[in-house]
Amino acid sequence: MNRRIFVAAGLALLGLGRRAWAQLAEPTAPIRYAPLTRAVKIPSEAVKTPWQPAEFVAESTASGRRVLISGVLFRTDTGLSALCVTCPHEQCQVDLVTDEPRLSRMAGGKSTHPLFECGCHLSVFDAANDGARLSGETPRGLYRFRVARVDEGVVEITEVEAAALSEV
Amino acid sequence: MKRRLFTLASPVIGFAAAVSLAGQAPSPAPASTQEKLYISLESTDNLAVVDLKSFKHIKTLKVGMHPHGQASPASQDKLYVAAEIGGTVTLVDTIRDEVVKTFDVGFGVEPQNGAITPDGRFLYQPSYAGYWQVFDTQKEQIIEYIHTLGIGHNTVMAPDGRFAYLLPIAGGPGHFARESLGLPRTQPKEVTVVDARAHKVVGTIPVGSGPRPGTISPDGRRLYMNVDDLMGFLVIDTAARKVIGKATYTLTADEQAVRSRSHGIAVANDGKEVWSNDVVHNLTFAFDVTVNPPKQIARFAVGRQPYWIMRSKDGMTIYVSCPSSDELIAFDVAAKKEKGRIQFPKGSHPTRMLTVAAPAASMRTSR
Repeated sequence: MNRRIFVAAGLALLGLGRRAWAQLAEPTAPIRYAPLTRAVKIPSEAVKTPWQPAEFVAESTASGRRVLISGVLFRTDTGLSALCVTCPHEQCQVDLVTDEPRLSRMAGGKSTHPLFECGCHLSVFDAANDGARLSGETPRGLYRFRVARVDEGVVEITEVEAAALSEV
Repeated sequence: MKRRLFTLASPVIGFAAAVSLAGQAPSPAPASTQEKLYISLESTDNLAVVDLKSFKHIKTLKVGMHPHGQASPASQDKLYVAAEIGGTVTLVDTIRDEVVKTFDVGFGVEPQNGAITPDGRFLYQPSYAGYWQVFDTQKEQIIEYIHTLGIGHNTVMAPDGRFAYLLPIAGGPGHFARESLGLPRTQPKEVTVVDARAHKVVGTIPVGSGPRPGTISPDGRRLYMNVDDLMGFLVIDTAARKVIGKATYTLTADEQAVRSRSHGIAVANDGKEVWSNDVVHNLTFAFDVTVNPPKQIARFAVGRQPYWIMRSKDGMTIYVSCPSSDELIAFDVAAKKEKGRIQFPKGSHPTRMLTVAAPAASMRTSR
């Protein structure tokens, strides 16, 4: 067998094994969060209406590097959700899609609630389920922020999923 | 002897220099041509035709599902458009702007951005399955498969048609989830050089990171290429087959704090400039490539998430597509100014494009 092909096949098998292990391990691994440099504060009034997005930019650090992360806070039917709007696939921005014609195209008319769509490669994420991956190139769902508290009419976001810091 | 060789070679070199192919090398459009830009509207399965004299969207053609890259031979009378979903390639008559036929000959998993030899005979069509197919346009069949170990994506043809440069992306889990037809795929981080006459691999160019879009200088001596994790582009000496330089965008502190990537690159101004996109920061940069390392000479705010760049045939206008805002933007290369903008219908998702100097009907030349 051609040596190059042999080595490549070995590497491919190794890669598949690692991916399989990662997939098996993923459901049980708790999400690690990292602190923001300063809390993001958004008036509750801005997200009073379900699916009305309030955009923000959060700051953190990773290996001494300053990182800015764009996010969106919105209210679902069950509560508040704060998600990173950077697609985990190739860092393009995702949009919260609420208009019916576009939703129909994205989900074949099956979605009863808004979805996120990547502006570059059209990956689709479930806005009602913490940005979970629904389809497309993305290897995972949207990175999450943690809402620490809602106090005196202000929503305070203090942490972001640690994995986001090296990927966005 | 040397003089004789030079004399014999001169017409060949002259002919090669005059040939324009697959959107790579600049050549002025003769008066009897209509210069147009063909752009894939991915979300609507359409190909938009833009007249470049008036800069107006003049026609829309229904092509294969999720249209991707295009290629046109030196004759410029036809265009091949790959369709990611469905795995087909559609042939378009660029004189009448009509779909001629669709080839469904097993282009593999999601055909991507190919390139064609100047004579129009061989289309190098990459597939996510990990290889390039050589499609003989005369026999209308695939005659060769070229395996690169990478995820087949972008292709650059040398201006003289001697070499094809295959640029497989490193890819992620999504890409590797596609069928490979049994062929191994890794992340080779190299360009594969193919003799485009024999369709055989003749070398590789290590680039240190996953290859992204590339383009070539009019004389074929320099390959410019975006790669993963570089905000800028590499300069490659095609004769030496090695990286000889690197251009890096100048970004503000806030921009540096937001991870982005470079995607979309074109040569302008008779090979003196290279224009390249910064996707996440919504920027396009122009560099002077007469010096090494290339020097940044302009930066432009464009639409949302610029994706592709194409130049006019004379190399003095640059077109930038922005799929997230459904825009096509034209820049005057000499003045370094925006000179026009087309807004496509919302959700069209304009991505890959190619300029074509389509001949008048009486001038049809190639097979």
